[in-house]
Amino acid sequence: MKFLLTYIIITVTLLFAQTDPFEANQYMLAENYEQAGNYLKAIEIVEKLFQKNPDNQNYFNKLYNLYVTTKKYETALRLIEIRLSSNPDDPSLYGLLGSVYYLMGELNTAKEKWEIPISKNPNNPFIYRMMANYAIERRAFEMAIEFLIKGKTRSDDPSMFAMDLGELFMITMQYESAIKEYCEILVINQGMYPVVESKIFSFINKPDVIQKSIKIVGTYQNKGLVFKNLLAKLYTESRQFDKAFDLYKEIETLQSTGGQQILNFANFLINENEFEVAKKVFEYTYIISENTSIKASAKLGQARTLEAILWNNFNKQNDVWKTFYQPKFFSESATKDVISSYEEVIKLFRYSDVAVEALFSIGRINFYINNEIQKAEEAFVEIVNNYPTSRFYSKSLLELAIIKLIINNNQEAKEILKRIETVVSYSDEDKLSSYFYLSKLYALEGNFAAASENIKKITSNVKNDFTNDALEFSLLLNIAKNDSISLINYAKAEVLIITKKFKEAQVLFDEIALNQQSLVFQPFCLLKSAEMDIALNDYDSGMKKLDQIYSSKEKNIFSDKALYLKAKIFENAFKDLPSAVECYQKILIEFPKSIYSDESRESIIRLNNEINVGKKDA
Amino acid sequence: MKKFPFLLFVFLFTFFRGILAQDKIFIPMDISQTDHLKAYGITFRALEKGYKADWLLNYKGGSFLVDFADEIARECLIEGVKFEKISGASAISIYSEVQNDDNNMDVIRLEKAPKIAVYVPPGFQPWDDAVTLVLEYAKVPYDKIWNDEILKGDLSKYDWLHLHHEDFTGQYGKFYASFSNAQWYIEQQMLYEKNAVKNGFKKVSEMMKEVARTIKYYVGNGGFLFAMCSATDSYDIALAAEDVDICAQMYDGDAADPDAQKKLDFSKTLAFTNFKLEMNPYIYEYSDIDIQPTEIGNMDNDYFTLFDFSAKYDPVPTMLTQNHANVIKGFMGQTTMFRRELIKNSVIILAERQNTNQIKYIHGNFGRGTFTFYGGHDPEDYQHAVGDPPTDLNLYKNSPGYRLILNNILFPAATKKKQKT
Repeated sequence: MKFLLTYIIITVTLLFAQTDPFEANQYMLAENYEQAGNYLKAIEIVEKLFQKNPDNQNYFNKLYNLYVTTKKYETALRLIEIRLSSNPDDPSLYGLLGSVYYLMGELNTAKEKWEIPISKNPNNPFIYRMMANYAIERRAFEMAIEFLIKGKTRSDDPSMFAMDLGELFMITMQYESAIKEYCEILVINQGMYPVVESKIFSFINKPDVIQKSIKIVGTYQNKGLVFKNLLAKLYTESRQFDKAFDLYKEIETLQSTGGQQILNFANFLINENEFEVAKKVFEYTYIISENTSIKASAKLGQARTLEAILWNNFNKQNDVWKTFYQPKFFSESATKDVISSYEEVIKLFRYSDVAVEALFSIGRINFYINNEIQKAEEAFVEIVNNYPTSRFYSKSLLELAIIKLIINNNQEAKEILKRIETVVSYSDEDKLSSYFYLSKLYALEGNFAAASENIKKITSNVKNDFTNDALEFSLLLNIAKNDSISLINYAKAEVLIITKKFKEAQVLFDEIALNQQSLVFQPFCLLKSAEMDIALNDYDSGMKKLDQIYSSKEKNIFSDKALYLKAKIFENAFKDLPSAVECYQKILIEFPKSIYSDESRESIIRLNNEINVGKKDA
Repeated sequence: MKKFPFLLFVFLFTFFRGILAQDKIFIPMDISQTDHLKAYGITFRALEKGYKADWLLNYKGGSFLVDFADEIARECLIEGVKFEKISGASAISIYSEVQNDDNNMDVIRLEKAPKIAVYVPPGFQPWDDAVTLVLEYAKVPYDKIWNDEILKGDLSKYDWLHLHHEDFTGQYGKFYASFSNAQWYIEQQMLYEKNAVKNGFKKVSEMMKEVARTIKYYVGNGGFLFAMCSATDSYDIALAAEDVDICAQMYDGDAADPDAQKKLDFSKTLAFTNFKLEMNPYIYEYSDIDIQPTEIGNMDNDYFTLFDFSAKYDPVPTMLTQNHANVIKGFMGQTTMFRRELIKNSVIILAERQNTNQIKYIHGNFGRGTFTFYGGHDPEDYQHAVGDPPTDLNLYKNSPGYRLILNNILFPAATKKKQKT
């Protein structure tokens, strides 16, 4: 009760002392003058108030600010010195004094003044920070850094300086020093890791900073797990994934998180298309993890990574640049690991969408990479029979239809393709593919009306990959209906291409082309025949046919395509880059509206760069 | 007197023999052109390689006629620029149409590719600036220069200088209120402060005034200055405020002169006069030169119109306004457009927002050089903000707004002709 009474008396006394109505009004008037930009009038009023009451801190501050605003630095100095004479130990007055000298351009004197309270209180850490703040206010960052470093060496708690120092080093772009300070903070308090990480990563993209950071953080590695973590992230950022992986392994051994952290790292690698490292990381995660959910995710990631690597290798081994090519299949041993990985995924995620995806992948690997048609069919049939709502249902139907075509069961292929349209949730791509195959099968039967109907469904949507092929076929269907035998033979040859029977297809194309009554087919058949030559690696024969097409110029609708294929042969088969560039240039010159123009333009730039690099290397 | 017909014959024979023997590459710049922006690059590089080029003012959108060479034709094909190979005789027919007194057209011979400098701070990205963006796209070579180069006198090495959204007043773009805590703002201020100390200045604003003075000297000595966005008004403000401190404490450490407005010297500026400074450091505006968004209103109605000039009597403004479109979509910037009443009488207005006091594009002479100011930041990004992704010019190959920038880079290549009297 006594305490409360004393408090009320003191408060009321202070309140009355500060609210002298005349002085308060005068002070408000001065503030109004200041806001209106009439500084001289404001100074006049506050000076009078200050003379009357020199101990009033508000009057002192206001007067100081007004003098500084109007650049009356000498007067400001006198004001501070008067006050200093009565308060010689007030560090804030030295702070102001230093600030005024700094504004006057007397930097050394400013520093001397700021150093006075420091020399008077060398063991008080707050004085260092206080003077540093006055220096920071004037953007004298180097002086502030000097004060803080001095304070840090004198202090029992260097961490209270390290954060300020880190910030100042960051502002002044002394990133190495900033990283060192932040590491020092972590040595003392590992709980600061999230703050430190975000600070360091805010400037890591500056030139050369990442390499320097790695070097510095590396020296702290033995001072705690947080540094290994930070270093691993820095390695990841600099795309040194193997080194990051080694560190994550170490962290896992020391910390035993159950593999979650390392799994996150692996998933990141997949997104970056770093499949080789991702594969190792997933394998490791699978081995070390005891958590079933992490183990399962690792297995799925491992299988997807293995598959991506497998397809990359397969594409490298095959001539994917050709319109059609005879695949060089892989042996079962080359795909064994991927398939067994997917089989494990199926066991782990039974009946889920992931399991269906795994089954579909197994089917495609068996079909396209191993040429194991029966095994592939089994996988697709299982999906079709057991997972009708899966997104892989229509895809599996499509693959099954192609298998049926290959084994000459066209009728069944047709029935399967027709089923795709009845699926509620099928993708556009699957639907369009089915129409395309169906049109060829109907043409093969001589049912040109149904073939046209299916083709129309594709050409009504011009933004898909099939449009051009569909338009070509549609053109033939429209203009060559009367020559039904040739049209059927043409469709037969097209189906033979799907089944990769290129030689047989070529025989048919050549037969049609030789028929004098099938003039309409000649450009189509000549191009297809050339494409069959390319598929069969008979480049000389292919080149002759392409030259023949190209020499017809605008009379042949495939002249630009012929040039394009010639360019491709020069580039990929003969490795004759200048001749390839020449062909691409001809496309731009002679067929500026060709659909191959954009690709030709890009190829010219790319190949010219390669040629120049080759010259430099030589 | 008898010799006259013979001499005339010799002259005509010599002149036309050159033309007749030489096939030309005709690059149309009307709406049929597939890539207007790269067409400038093709012409620029042809000049660099020593080929002659003519700029056919007001002929099919300001087309180009370049000496035929396989390498140029090939380049047009690769870059996707529409062109026609025409015979010398066809070229003569075009020349005679263009030079006919009845047509508001003319031929300007482009002699030499100008050397281009772009004023940018270190660490800048091409997409920070519409000019560098379009120079990169059109593959026109340029050098980057900053305060150090300007202060040591390197401007004399260049024919053309471009300034973009720099702030010559030393107030760091007046971004303080919104971005003072952003890392890029902190770094930018530090960079300028260090640079000022390095060049012997106590304050950034003092250094920027010296830079502005040096640029003015460069223009006076025959340089071509092109400025966009906030470089336009902030440059003139810096010149007017040469002897007065207009920067508040957060920009240069001390308070601004309370009487700064009264102390401005408008005789020192290039383009603007009688403007009123915005002294509030928290307001993102330098002065009343710039048109405010509220004055522009609905962005759907923001279009500006190019003036028509007489090609034969006013070739310079005609060159600067060559375009395939006359009415162009507006775009904003830190400085979007200029207030008509604050533009000096000696300055030529090239484009305006019709029936308003909002001027988009101006040109003037100073000493032996010229200056062109173009308001706004990015002609194909209406409201480009800090941190926005860069504009992909592959999507704007026919941008009339960007064309105006490129007119400026070819204009210094033009041969000066005697005016008809």
